[in-house]
Amino acid sequence: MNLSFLPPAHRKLLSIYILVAVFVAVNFYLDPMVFRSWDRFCTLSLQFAPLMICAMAQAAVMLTGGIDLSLGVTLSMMTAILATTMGSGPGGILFSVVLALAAGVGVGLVMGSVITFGRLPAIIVTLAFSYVWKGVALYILPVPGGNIPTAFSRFMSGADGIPGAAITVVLCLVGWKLFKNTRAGLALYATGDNAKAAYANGVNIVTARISAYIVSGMLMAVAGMLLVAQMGSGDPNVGLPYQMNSIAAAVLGGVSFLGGVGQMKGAVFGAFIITSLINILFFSGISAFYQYIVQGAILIVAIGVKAIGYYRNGGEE
Amino acid sequence: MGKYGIRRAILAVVLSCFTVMAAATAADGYKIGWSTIYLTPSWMQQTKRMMEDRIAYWKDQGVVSEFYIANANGDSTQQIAHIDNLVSQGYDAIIVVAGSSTALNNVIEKAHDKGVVIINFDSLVTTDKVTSKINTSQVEWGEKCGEWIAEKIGGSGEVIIFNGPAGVAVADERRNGALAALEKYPNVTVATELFCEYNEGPAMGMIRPALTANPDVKGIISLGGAFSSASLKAIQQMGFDLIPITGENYNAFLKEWAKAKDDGFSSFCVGQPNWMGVLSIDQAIRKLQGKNVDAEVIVPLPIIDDSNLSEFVPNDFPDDGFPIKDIDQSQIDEYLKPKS
Repeated sequence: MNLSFLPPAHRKLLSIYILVAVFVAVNFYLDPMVFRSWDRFCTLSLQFAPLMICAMAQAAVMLTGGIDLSLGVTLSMMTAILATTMGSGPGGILFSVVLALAAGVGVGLVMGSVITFGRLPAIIVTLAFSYVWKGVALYILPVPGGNIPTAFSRFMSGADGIPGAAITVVLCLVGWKLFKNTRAGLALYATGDNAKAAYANGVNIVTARISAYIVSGMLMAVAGMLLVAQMGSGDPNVGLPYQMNSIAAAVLGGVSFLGGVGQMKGAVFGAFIITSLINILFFSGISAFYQYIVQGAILIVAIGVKAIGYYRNGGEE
Repeated sequence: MGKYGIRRAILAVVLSCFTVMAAATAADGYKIGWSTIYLTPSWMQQTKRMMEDRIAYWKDQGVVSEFYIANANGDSTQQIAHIDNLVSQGYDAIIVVAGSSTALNNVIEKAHDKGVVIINFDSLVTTDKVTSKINTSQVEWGEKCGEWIAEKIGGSGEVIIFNGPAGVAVADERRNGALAALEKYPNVTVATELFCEYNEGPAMGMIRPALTANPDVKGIISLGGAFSSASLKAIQQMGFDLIPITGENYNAFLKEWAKAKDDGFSSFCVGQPNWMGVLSIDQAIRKLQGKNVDAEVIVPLPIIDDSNLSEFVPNDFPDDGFPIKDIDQSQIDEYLKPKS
């Protein structure tokens, strides 16, 4: 098949585009309300958004060849920070949002520094830090609770007709696109692709790696905002399921475990597929226990479809 | 009758047909959904069986047409999606066992505002915008266990409190109850507190070092069945004296208790009745039928002690089951009868 009419960046994502189209079609068939009711669309966009941002956060780290096993716990910690500090009124919301973003920078700076300067494997360091962040989350918010102003929840859930969650995802994607083309962004990809070659060409791989963790931390703050808006509160244990799903979403979206390869769009589409699976299985009425088997099987098929696309391109991605 | 009169007549016939059809659809029975955070643990399996039996009864009566179980498998955000979906699918009532005491508040309030009947049992949410909450008092659970141990050890000595995981509302409430009970006994001191997931393996790993470090403890206020089972086994393996341990109607523990009873082991168990699921179904139907229902139903805790243990052991339940007596119609009526 001659696909040369497509720009290369889109050609690489072709298989995932097809998958997304299939999932959208099945979802539409099972739940026709999605496109007919704006309200339902807004509700769904908030359902999908947190994992999309988590997948982006995971992808940012994976692009440098790292991995973040503390992501789920960091997410819980962010909900704790947001739910305990967010006051009502624009000033109160802004304060809390800035604080969470600062915490994200802090988390990224600490983990990135330990990994880079300590020359330690990311998998162990982030696992170790997951215990630290868990403790911090429980210290800030020992039991689920806290308060999120209704105005914030209403904005994110699109109660007033503005789909805040969808806008947030788009803003993050635009922000990443701008970052990717800066020196730091290019350094990040180069470091992940081949750290030695990047170093030999004058790329500062230390700052590149740390910046990836900082970007990831800030994205986690954003994911936290989406999640607290959905819940109307914080919960020190809520983030765990996002841990593995963020990795699955990133891989499904074409981000390589080995670093240097992958696009943020892909990770977001991967997250879309994983979340819509939940909806599809729900509406299909399959027995609750078979759902796990089906869920696993569909993911394997989805990754298989991607692999076929990969080999068709002669293994070049 | 003119031209317009005929049109009106046709319109009237068509409209009345629709009305009849609409009425017929309504008479087909209610659609009830159950959104639960877990379905795999034995307790949930038992609850599911009891609820399905009750639904079968109501389906025979033509009262309920559909019953859908949505299992979020531990993921609170998935549960939010499930509740949203049940609402958009037009379910009349949604029964909720919440994965987080606060995470579902927004989605439940939204559903409640749309007129969906929401019944919340076992694991509760903090919002009051639900039709009815049905549960035992978890604070009372802790109080009863704390008080029993304090009395059993003669009002003085060291005890260990074995809690569920930190950050979980139910575990926190049981703990508060136990601590409140101990305030009445100034000579009872807490040697150490343990926090653990409700699982025998990890519990074993926590109680052994705690006992080694505190060999003088007189009793263990265990606030979960798996902890009691682990504690009793640890004490037996380490060759310690059999000190009193509170518990839950967890079968592995009940069986061990029955065996160790002759050696002087004494315990006191409370339980979370599975038939709260049955009460939830009936409460939903009552509300849908326009009956008056209470916003809060507190069910008494079933108690197993040395005197009635023989009624529960031996039994046919698996080791991780929760032996309990079934509920009958008169009990359902009694518990759900509006107080006001």
